[in-house]
Amino acid sequence: MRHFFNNRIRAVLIVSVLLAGVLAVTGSLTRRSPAKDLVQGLLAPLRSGANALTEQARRIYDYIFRYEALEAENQALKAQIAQMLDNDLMADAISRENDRLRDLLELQKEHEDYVLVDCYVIARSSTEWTSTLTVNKGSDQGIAEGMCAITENGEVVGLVTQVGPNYCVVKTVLDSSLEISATIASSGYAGMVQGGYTTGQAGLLRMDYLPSSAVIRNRDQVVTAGSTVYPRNLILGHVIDAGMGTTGVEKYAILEPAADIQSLEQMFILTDYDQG
Amino acid sequence: MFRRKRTEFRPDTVRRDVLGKLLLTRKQRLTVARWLLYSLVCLVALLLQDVVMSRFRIFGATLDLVPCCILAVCILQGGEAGCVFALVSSLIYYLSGSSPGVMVIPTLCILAVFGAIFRQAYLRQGFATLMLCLAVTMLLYELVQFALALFLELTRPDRLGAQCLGALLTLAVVPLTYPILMSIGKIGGETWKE
Repeated sequence: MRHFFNNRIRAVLIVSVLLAGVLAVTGSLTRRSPAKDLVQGLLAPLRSGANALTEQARRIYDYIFRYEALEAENQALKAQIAQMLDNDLMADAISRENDRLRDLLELQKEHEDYVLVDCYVIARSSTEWTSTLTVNKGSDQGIAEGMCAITENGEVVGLVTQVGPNYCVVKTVLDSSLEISATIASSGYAGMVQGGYTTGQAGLLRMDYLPSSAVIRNRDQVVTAGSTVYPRNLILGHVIDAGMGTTGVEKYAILEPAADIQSLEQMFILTDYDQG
Repeated sequence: MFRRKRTEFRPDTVRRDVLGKLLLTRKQRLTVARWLLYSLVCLVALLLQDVVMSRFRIFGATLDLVPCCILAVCILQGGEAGCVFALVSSLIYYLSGSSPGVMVIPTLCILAVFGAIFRQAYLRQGFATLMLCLAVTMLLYELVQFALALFLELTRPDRLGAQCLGALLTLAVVPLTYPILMSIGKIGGETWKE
């Protein structure tokens, strides 16, 4: 077997180890890698195309195998549209009422400063311990590292960690390495939220550093506390469990994420907002 | 007295211009075509893994199609021919952002070369020996990646089962890709074949 190890094989193995070392060092020193930008920039349109084909195949599958269910859903939606047309007659009155509610809650005032870029998911991480989504917009559309991603309902998806010209990678809230300062909306208790994978709650969030005297109720809504990265009051999730931490002086809560990360297809990157 | 006849052997004309240096023989063209096709197979595997397979979790495990493809190509083609392909493709796999980290480059290179050489030295050619070498190298690859992640506190020890299950599930795809890889490997008529 030894005679198979010729000079070429030895050279390749040595180069692979050296290359890994160089890439690891340069990756830790610099935030951006031109080589990664080039490769991922070339892959982005291919991933978009593959995603489009997958969606088309799924629609064909649904059409073939779920025709009756789709027909029933269609009938229900038609009835709903008819109801909505009736309700439209009351739209003016409802709109005025909404204006009053918005004034009361300052909802529209808080969100008018949001500048959002919509994007579609073209790839997902397949590694066990990371949770990232690759989307089809990048620096060409004004996206930069450190911007947060949300759904149309104001639910936090994650944080942009890598940007190319026509793609960006969003690390989701399910990733254990992402920490977000948060508060329980009803009681105001503050803590830190991160993905629950490393603590045995894969697919869920964990909120730590809650005071031991905190009263935590089931389905309590947890929102962002507000920082330079995340605006205040973006929805992170709802409490489904709680307990005392290992130190005995703090509590933790287990949250169900508000955003459905696994089936997410579209999200919005918050490129600018009023931090005041 | 001894005049050379016109019919006697004469050396081929050596072209020293630039075009002469770039001219590929038929064998070289077929070799290039073979490796380009292997790269295309790996690219398709990458797109499938990123776009389709990443949406599903089978008993908590995911498929690693790209490392499996790289290892299969190297084991089929032999250590000497496959080592450079393993290096380049693992580098591109890392740069694509889909890999678990930079250590995937030396891990895949070392496992691919050792798997190929072991098969060349001790085993008979055939689908069964390919599956055997691939199973061992895939399992070792997943264990190495898991150990590194454990060292960096990115995962937990009880996730080892899911990691190994991912390797086994990936191997289930190999019988489907084997005819394709074999057909590509026959192009050029060189190296260690089935």
